[in-house]
Amino acid sequence: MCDPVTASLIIGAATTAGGTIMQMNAQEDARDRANSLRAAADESNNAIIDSTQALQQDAAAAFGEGTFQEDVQGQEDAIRDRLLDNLVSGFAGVDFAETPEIVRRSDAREQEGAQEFAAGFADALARLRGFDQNLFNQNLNIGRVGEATQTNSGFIQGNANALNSDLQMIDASSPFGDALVAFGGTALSAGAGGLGPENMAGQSSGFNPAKAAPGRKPPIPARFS
Amino acid sequence: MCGGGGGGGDGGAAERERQRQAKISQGVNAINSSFSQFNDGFFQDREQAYVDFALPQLEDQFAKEKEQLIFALARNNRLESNTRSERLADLEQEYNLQRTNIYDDALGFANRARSDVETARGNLISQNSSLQNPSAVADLASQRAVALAAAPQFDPLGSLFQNTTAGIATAQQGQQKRDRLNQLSNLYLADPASGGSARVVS
Repeated sequence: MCDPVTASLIIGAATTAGGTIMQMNAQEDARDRANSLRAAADESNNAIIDSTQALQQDAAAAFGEGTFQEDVQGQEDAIRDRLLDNLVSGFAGVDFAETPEIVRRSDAREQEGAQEFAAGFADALARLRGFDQNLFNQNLNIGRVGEATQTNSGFIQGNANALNSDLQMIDASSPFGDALVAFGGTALSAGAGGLGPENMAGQSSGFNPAKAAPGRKPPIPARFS
Repeated sequence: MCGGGGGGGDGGAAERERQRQAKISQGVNAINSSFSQFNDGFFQDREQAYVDFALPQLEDQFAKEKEQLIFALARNNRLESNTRSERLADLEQEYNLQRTNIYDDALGFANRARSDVETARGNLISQNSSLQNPSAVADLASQRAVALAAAPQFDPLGSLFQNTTAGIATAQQGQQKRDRLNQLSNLYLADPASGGSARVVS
């Protein structure tokens, strides 16, 4: 059986090592929890970013040169059809039985001119409104994408705040490990300094660097080495 | 594990944030559900409502204006003339332009309604983010949707046809003036055939 000094040194070293391992384990656990929380936040944020980007890209695609022109043309055609379909012709029922032929021909000529003018007006208006209408529709869409972007930004900000709060709550310390390290340190110091009341009186029975061990030369003081 | 960390970092804040986001998403869904009635069909109906409101007024004004024009043409013995062709064609042209304007205004009303709906929806979305109370937001959205779906008020149309008979009236007045001048000439000017400087008024 070893002497008390050696036992103290062994116990001190063992408890210090055990405490250090516990501290390292606690820090490892804390790192794992932090990584896990970050991964969860990243996953959530990535999904939000992907959906937001998809919305924004769709909205931007509507302003692509070809797409925008096609949409304008579609709106223009729809408006033109609606306006032209609702024009009327034929003097709205005015007819006179005694009308001379020359006046009838004049009626037809004037009526044709009036129709051409009204149709031209409707066509010009349709071209103007087709562009306006498409721009109006795209603006509505952009507004909705903006709303979604704002909401999703709030979500991402919320995730960041929550992650920060959770990370701050992580406790990387190991009280038992700390206690072991402290105890081990004390035991090592005690072992290194000798044990028992004689040590208190200056008569160490343990290791004393200033005193030669039996069968050995006394150690050289540091100042001479 | 024995001697492990003191705990914490269990994702409690993240879980609360997930719940907050879920409430906001539920609120957005409730808003979208209440506003789903405002689709293309709704705005086409709104457009047609204005047309149904305005066209009868146009028809009424057109009928009266046509009547006035025919009377004016008849008073000037121009009912069987090219003037009639021109004036009635002008009236028909004006009538068609006004019809086109009505359909154009109807599109404008529909767009304004669409814009109002989007504004209301946007406001609700903003409120939803701060309220984080899906049931309260659903109630608000429902009330707002009912108000927006109510029939709109349209202003009556003003006078759509102007100066249709102006030229004819002027011609008639000119003719009357010429007739009066002729009468005066006959009264006071010398008759070249008689050779005298005056004539007896009977």
